[in-house]
Amino acid sequence: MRQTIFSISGLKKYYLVKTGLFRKAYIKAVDGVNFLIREGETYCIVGESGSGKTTVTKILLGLEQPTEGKIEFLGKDLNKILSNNSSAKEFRKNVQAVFQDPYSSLNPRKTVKYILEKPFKVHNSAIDEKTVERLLEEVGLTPAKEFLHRYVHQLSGGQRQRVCIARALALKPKVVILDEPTAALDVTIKAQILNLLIELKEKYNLTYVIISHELPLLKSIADRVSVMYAGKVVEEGPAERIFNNPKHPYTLGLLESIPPPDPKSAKSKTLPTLEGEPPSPVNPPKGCRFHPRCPSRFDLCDKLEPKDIEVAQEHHVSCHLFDNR
Amino acid sequence: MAVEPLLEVENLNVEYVLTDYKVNAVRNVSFYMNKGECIALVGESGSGKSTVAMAVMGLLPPYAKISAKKIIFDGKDILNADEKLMTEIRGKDVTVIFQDPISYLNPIISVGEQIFEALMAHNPKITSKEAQVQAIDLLRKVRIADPERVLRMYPFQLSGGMAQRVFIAMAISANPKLLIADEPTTALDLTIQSQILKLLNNLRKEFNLSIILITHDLSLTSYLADRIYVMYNGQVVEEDSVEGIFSNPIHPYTKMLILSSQAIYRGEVKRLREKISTITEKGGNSETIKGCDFIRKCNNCGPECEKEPPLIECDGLKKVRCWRL
Repeated sequence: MRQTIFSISGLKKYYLVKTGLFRKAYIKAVDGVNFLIREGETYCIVGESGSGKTTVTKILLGLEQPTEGKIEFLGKDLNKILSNNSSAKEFRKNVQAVFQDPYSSLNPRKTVKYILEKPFKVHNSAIDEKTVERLLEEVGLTPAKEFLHRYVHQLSGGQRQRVCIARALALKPKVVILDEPTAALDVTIKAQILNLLIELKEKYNLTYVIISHELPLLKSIADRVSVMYAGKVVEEGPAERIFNNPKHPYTLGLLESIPPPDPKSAKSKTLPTLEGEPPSPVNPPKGCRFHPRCPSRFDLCDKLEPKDIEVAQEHHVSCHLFDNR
Repeated sequence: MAVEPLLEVENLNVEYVLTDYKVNAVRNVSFYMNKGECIALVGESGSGKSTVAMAVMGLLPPYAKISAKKIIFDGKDILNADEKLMTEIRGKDVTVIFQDPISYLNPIISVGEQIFEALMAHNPKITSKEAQVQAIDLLRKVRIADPERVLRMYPFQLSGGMAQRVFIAMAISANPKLLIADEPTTALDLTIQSQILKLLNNLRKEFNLSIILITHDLSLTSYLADRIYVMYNGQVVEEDSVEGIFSNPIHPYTKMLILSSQAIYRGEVKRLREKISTITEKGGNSETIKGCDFIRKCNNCGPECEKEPPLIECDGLKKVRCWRL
């Protein structure tokens, strides 16, 4: 059995909002989710905006405190790790992040060389130009010498994202958390960045946690997928089962609404759609949160919250359709 | 229905003249469209696809120099039109919707008032009661379930999909002949994207609306478009019917686009590398390249590629800018 990197149970994150002078409400961004992320796997969290997937990333990175729930990193409580300076530093070294918009996550006033040297300086590691050049070559920015003294505005979107990936890999982390890593890029560049990520993962036995709303992209890279809807996980399982044999009506609808790049396919003429919009996170629907949009809802759905049901090995669905009792 | 031409653009050039350098954003672009047709301008960021559309609308900044042989819209010469005629055409006969609707809506004015404003701009005599009725009717047309409530809302209270619907409602308020949709679904979630695509397609049929779809995502075109113009570095490199582009792509850039989007769709990004050999990412600007723009990326170059290729007519509708057919 592979080592467990992150173990998250009963995670909740509520944000307080004031709706009136004395009235308060909570945005239930994440409302009771469990994840188990193992060494060397690519774990993907999929969902639409507002489903809570980015909140999960922030909590995993230790940037937000959860309202409730337990998070363990390599068997140790994350709160304890972060409360101690030296262990917190070690954690940050091991858990790196790449964000959606490479332009705003790179300092526009610094050169590529400075940006890539920074992690080494922070962690007091030895650094020379050779190391930085090797990093650039690693992410396909060759000849490296040409890129060393460039500023961020002199790079294309794809090149910027490569610099972000290089920076994340600089200290040889165990885990890289990628929040929408290709959302801001063109199609051909998306494919290239995806390819790079696959290569690097195999080379360094990295663990990826990828957060994305672009379901088709994940087909090429995911090992396990978790589908989130309105703060809850509705389906979780091996990627191959989620893509080829999805059970939850939401996963089904999500996969169906991907337009195929082929005018001959029947789907491209009809384009099945899931009607409606995700619910308000302040006041989610009773029962199953997906029931107002669900094409196969029945009388139980708006009354009872569905339980987590294992439909196959490691494949969990929370939907009344699969509850036999 | 007889084929009537709506828009004809011949040899459009747009040059951005900045203080110390010039950028040829659009070079020799010619295209046409008939009434009720949907054409797609496809290309990566910086390929000039939006500039083409804005040039047609006359919405480019003053430092943009436009030259063309002709731009005819609905029988009117709009290349040499004065500002008065353009104001009449803009917003009435031709309207635009953008990628990020929320930032184009005024945050401190209610949705209703913004729609009234659009209605009044083209019909100053309209009474507020009539405007109210028409606004509700418009919101119904874009499939908003409770229009009365939405009229009283402010843009920040709308979800991305709702805001795009409101934006579309304003765009069709004057019964335009042409709708320019500039990346209309890029900022939206998958399920909302397919809803908006469907809406555009329905409006097209209902009102015989012609649409110019500007996108970097080829898969959208297979649902909505009749013909595609693939743009690269300010030029049209291939044009054909949707079926022709997908079944018989000829220009290496078109091939790359189709292979990339199909590999992503099918989850086969790993094998993509063997199929396309790209040497580097886009670097340098157009002036530094002699001959074919694609020469640095193409692996099928010959000596003739040192000269700039013309748009060569092939079978049917297909035209390709490549020497090595």
